[in-house]
Amino acid sequence: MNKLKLTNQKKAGIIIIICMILFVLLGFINRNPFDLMNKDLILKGPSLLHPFGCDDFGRDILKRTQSGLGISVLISFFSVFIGTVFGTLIGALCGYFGGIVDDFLSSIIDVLFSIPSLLLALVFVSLFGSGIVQETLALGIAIIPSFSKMMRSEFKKQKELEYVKMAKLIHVPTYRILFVHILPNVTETFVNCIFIAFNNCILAEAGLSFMGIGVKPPLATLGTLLSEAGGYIRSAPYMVLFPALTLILLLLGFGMLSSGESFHNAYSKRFKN
Amino acid sequence: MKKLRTLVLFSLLALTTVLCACTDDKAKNSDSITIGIAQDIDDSLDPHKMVAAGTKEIFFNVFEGLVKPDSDGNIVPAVAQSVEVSEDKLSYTFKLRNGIKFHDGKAVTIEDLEYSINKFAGRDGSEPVSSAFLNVSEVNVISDDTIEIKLASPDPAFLSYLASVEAAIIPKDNADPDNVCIGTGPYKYVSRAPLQNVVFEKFDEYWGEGGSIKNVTFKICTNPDTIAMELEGGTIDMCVHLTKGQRMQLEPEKFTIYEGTMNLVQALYLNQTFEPFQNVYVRQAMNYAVNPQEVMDYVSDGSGSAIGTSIYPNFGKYFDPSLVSVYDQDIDKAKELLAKGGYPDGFDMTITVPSNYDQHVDTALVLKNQLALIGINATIEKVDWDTWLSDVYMGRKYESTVIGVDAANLSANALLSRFVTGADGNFTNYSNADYDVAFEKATSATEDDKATEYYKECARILNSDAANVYIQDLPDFVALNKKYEGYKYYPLYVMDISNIKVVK
Repeated sequence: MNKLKLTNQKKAGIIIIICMILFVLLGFINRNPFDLMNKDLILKGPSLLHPFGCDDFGRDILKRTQSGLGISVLISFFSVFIGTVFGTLIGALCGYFGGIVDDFLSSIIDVLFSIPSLLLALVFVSLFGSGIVQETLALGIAIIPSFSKMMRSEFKKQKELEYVKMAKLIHVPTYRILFVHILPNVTETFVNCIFIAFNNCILAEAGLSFMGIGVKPPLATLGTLLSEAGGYIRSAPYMVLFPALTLILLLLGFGMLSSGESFHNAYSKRFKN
Repeated sequence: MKKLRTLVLFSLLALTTVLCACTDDKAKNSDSITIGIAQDIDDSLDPHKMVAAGTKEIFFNVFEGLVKPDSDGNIVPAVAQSVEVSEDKLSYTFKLRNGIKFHDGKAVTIEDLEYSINKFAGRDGSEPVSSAFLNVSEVNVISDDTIEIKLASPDPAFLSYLASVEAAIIPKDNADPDNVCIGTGPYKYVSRAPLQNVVFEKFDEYWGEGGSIKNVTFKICTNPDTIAMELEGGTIDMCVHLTKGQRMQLEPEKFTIYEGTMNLVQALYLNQTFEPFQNVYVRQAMNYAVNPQEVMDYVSDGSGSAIGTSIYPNFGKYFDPSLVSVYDQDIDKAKELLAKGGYPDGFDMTITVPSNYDQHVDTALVLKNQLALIGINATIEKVDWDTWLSDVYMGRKYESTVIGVDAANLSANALLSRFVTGADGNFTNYSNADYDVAFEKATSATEDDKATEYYKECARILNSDAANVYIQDLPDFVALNKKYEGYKYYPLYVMDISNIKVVK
């Protein structure tokens, strides 16, 4: 049996993430819009019909958490995608070529790195206005520096190895060496980087929404849900509790998935057997 | 054994540290009060140059004009002991109050009055604080304690312009009024620290009854989320303009909650340069679609008062209650009007709201849902306060906005002048020939009754022409620690601390 062997931690992570996806998908069964207001339900606690309770406009918090989680994950997914593509590209060029290319690109990255990523995103949003697209781009750009740093060091290590030297000798085109020969050998770092970036992204998105920039109301993300609930933390604690629990679970899931033995090792073991 | 001893020692150490923090901070001097205010006071200290409503709100306690408003909206004598108005309503003769003193201990002289009037009326070459003062034609010192102000044309509301912080009397020999703050009010200014506090102290030689609490500190609490905690924790004793959420967090047995109104005209202001809003049917349709009572139910638990036009109920004689119900929600009629206006399927619009005002953001959310009923698709754009001021109010680059507009003094002029074609504060670019005529008649009327009638006419025009979607005068919740009592509302945006007393 050539089964992919995973640690229990990873299995738990995968189960949590699947549950989260199901949770978001279940939201589509509830046909009520997420901004449906109801005067009679203002600040009503959890009940059978509204298991997460209702907020200060009488909107169902369960439905809002479901759609909010979906939007948060969507924003983070595309941000990580942007960050990964550009981060890997810059990191690969720096690490592989070295010299003046490295000096030039690395100094730009260093400057970007010295600015806190949240501040960077803030500057971006204030320049280009708020909205989902801007927020995604801003978060994506904020990911690039750390990603390219990691990839640079990996590529630097790999280029000294025999297989790369051989490939160069037989005139394999450079882009092939970079992305077909070296990249699969750094998947361990690569995959972990993605998970960490994803985690950071969800948190940063929550932070941005918390500061009132990002998506436009009445659209909800986990961040806006938490910031709106902040004022009611004493009188209606469930407004904070449920979205916060969702966020914690999601981060826990990704955290478990990214830690411990890497996928790459698990994957290689499969072939050894 | 050794391990155990270390553990015990360590826990003792930890316990001492924790207990050390438990000092009794409640043992404050009962003769002082700390009031939380939402914004930093970084304005000029010259009352004639103060811009922010929040600054004038607290400096109402430091500065007085010749006359001042009382909590019932009457105009009562202040620096002047009495005022006589001539038969032709063109000459106002003020008699200086006997023995009145400035905060630096010097007596107020007739020269100080002359200097101040010339300064705020713009007769010394500076900008007048209000265009209404351009009407002043002469300022004559008649004797040591009498001064006369002559007007070019009669203005029944003239005294109400004088009854505001911006027309305060300040000493002539103060070389640096921007930084040295000397007035005649019941409290004197002591100090301020940026983003921390402003300190006032009771003025013992005040001519009137004066305040009862000796030391007043305004603590600047810019984070709305912490205000309730600061009240509960006792770092502040009082706070005005609380939101529904903040009020809910307070324990009722510890605080007296006063409920009044903010004296603002909250509306969905429509920029008339945006194409759909140029059509009166569209504007009326929007008014029929919106239900102000529902907005209040969501935003402030049903409190607040509907207005129907740019006058709020505390304006007494100028307020026409019949205008409130002109546009009772009627979706069918709204759809009909919208079709008549050329938009049978509705249109897209943006509502720009300042994100630091929860009430306005919440109102915009409810409005979005109500406008959706007739097919208008509104997008909410949250901007920070500075952006709102520069882009919306000054730049007039917006489609619609939810905001509350306040009145600088007790005359209807203060609320209505901004809708005159081409006026300075006309941020909605409203223009209506009938309105301009009615307003002109109101300002030039010699009799107060006549003027009132024309101002009411102006308000009616704003209502029937559906200039904006008028919503409410927001409720204003004030929390006062039960150690104190006596907060009083004014029909203006001011906070009078001289009424507040310590409960014996």
